[in-house]
Amino acid sequence: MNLLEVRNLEIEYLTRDGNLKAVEGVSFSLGFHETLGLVGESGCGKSTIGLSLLRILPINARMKGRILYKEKDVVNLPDEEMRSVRGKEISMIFQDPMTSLDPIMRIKNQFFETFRAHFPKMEEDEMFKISSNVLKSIGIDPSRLENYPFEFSGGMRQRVMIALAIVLNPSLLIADEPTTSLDVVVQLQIMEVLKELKEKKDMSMILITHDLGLVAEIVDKVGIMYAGNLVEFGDVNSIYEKPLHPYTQLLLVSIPNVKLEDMELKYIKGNLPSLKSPPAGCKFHPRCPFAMDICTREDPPTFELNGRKVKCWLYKGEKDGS
Amino acid sequence: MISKEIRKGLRGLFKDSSGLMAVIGFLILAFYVVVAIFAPFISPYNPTQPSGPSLLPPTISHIMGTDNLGYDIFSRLVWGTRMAFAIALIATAIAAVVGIPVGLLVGYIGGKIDRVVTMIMDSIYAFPGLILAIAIAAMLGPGLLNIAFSIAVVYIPTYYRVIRSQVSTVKSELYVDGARAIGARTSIIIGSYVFPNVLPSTIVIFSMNLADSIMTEAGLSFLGLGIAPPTPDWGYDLAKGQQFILNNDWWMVLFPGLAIITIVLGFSMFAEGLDEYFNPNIGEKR
Amino acid sequence: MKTYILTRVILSIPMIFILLTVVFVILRILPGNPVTAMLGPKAPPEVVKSMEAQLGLDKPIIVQFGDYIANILRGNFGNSTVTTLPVIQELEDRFPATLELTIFSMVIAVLIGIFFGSFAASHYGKTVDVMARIYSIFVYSMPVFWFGIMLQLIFGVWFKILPVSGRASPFMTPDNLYTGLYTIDAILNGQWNVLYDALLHLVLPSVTLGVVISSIFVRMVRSNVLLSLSSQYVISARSRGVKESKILYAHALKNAMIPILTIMGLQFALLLGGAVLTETTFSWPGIGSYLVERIRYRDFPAIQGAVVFFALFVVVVSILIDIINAWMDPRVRY
Repeated sequence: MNLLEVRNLEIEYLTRDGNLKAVEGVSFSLGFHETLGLVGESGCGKSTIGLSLLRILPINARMKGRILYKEKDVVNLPDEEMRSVRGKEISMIFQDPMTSLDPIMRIKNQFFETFRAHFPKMEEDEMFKISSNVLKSIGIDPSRLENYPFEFSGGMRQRVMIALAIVLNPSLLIADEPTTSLDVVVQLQIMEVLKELKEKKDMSMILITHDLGLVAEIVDKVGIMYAGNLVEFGDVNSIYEKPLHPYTQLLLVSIPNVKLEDMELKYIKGNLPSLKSPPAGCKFHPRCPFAMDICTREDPPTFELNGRKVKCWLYKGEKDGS
Repeated sequence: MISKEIRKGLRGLFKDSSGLMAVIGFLILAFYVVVAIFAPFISPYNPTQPSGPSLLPPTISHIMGTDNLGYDIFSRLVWGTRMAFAIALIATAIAAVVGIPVGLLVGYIGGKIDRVVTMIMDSIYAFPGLILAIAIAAMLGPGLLNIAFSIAVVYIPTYYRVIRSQVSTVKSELYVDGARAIGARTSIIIGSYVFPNVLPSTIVIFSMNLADSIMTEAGLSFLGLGIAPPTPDWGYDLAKGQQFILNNDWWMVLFPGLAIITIVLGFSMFAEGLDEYFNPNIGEKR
Repeated sequence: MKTYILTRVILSIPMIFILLTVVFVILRILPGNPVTAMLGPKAPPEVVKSMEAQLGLDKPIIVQFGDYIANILRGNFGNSTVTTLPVIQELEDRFPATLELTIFSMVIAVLIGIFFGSFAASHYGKTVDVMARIYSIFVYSMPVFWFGIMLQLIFGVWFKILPVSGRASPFMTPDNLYTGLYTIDAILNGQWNVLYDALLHLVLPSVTLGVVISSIFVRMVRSNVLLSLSSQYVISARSRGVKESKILYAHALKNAMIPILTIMGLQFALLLGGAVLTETTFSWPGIGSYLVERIRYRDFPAIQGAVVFFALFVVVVSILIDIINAWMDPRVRY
């Protein structure tokens, strides 16, 4: 049994001027104590997937497909049962720590309400003790429980957010661009915290990021997203050594210390296609250096080779082991 | 099913197309403008002379009944439209004519004058508008222009604040852009560039203020500070009607009230529709 | 917190001064001399002269202004020309009625605003939400006095279940007045029938004013709660499994209350304007009806006193609102 099983996930946003396909037929799985990096440019649908796992998408979103968490169907779970999953089973930290904490509530109370949401009868002393320990383990003095969010720096707030997310020992932590809004030194510190969590806790993680290089050290698996599609999925080392999808290849080139032979392009030309009126065929073909005739007409299926998945016509007919 | 359709219809009406809201408002206003212009032809009786027995409930000959003096209420309503429009238009025009240039000028000059004038305007703005109008109206005495002036004073700060803040924004933008280097004088830029820019919001404020002025005028005349009787006036008619509610003579109160509501509704729907049309984000902040 | 309150009070001094000046300009400098306003245009000149002397209007305008400010600071509002009583005393007598009415109306308006507004926001786009929008635009277009009269007609005349005027039935005032608020005093005296009578009299006026003011509150609460419901801390609280009801009230509404309170402070001025009309409609013996009544008698000192009083009332309330705001928002407090 896998911890998480995502099958043919489709997410659409209904907007005033037309529907917008944010996620299209995405499938992947995540085992226990495994870390997945979900990588792509902004707007590719990676954050939407993060929110959908907790079913906290904006109200104008519609989702189809299956998300099985410990064999529970997240898409169709009754609201109250879903709520008890959030925070206790799956929890999430967000991009902007400055706005993710309620500005007018003491940190302490934000911890307490999280406990109360799942254990209504828990004593305050106990809540206080657990929160203090978690904060301490993450490098924050427990006395700061009494403080308000504005009394913390950005990096400290993200630590508080992480502490809040792991305080109930969830089995899965989703981190949505946890370091993007922080400065470089603090970014590395937060990554250290996450790495330590991965080593010490019995927890799976999904790291959502646009920066493949930043997560490479931590993750076991990598999923590359492009325009709502999961274009490549596989083991982190094999993807690093031999990226299959042209988009992944281009992404890796843009990381300075990775060397690839035979690459002519140093950056990815063009922009993400519009999700409202996507191009026909493969979404990536307008920017793809290897685009073929078929790419402009037909959307490629996902090919499996060597336990890796790639959604690209280049790999049609290639067999496992080749 | 039906309720779902109604819901969809209403939603489309009020959220998705602010244009429709403006159109409905406009139609209501157009209706009242026609009534005001053609008052002599529409009203069946002379509004300031008895036309039947007093305190007559609505009948076919007096569709809205008569008041204690036997005046036909429908005729008074029709003629009262003129008064409502006249006072609201004059008041709002005075407020605009004073508020806009002062805002332009003060925003342009800036500095100490700006701070002092803004503080004065803010104080007037914070003052209960109706009470301010009552005080002025009490000092000036009755008369169409006096009432209009009392109401105007209340709304001058509204124009001033919007115009001034826009002017100072544009001015600093111009400064940053180094537009002066091109040789254009700031005053000319303010006149030919800023003013056209603030025009849309001015139209919205104008329309909102018309709604508020009609309300304030009705309030003043309800308190006996309006036009001298027996000139037809909705607020005055309402005040008179209240004296007879213990007799259950509801028609003297109901109809003038509905007239005020619909015309104010017309102006505010028109203003809101326009507002969302011109600047989709500002509407909610008011 | 103490420093904050002190600074806030000191900062409002210029505003008080400007408001007093505005009142002075309106009442003394604008065309329409108070004496002519009091005596009518046809009064004989010697009467006008003596009246001017009595009110100090014969002095140079600057001196008059100095006297005016000095008198207000001393709490001296002059004597009423109708009753010859000190205006300040009459205002003191009338103030509790206005306070009681405004408190009850404010409570009604805030309750309607918070419940309807946040309910609409949490059901964005649904029927409740559309109803809230229609409610606020319709009620906003309704003259407060017309609504009051219609309520008098329906509940006072047709159903005969509620009194249509005054603060209390004859012989139903509290024995001992401590606060002047009949409801509070009745409780303090333990006179439950008096309390019941006072509440009965309060229903129509406070519902009238409260409902009319609530239109703005519903609209404001709705848009501000919508704004905070879409904020990141709400999504983050939701991701931790916090209940929706808790999210709405503990996070969204509480955060939305900060801008709402500020706007409510501004709307208080509107409430006072409405109070004048409501008091007149229901013969409620407060300062609003006092002002209107004395305008009819051309009682200049009383008019000036009432207007100055309203100006000061607005300032005091705006200070109070800011203090509540600081108490709610830690970012202001520190």
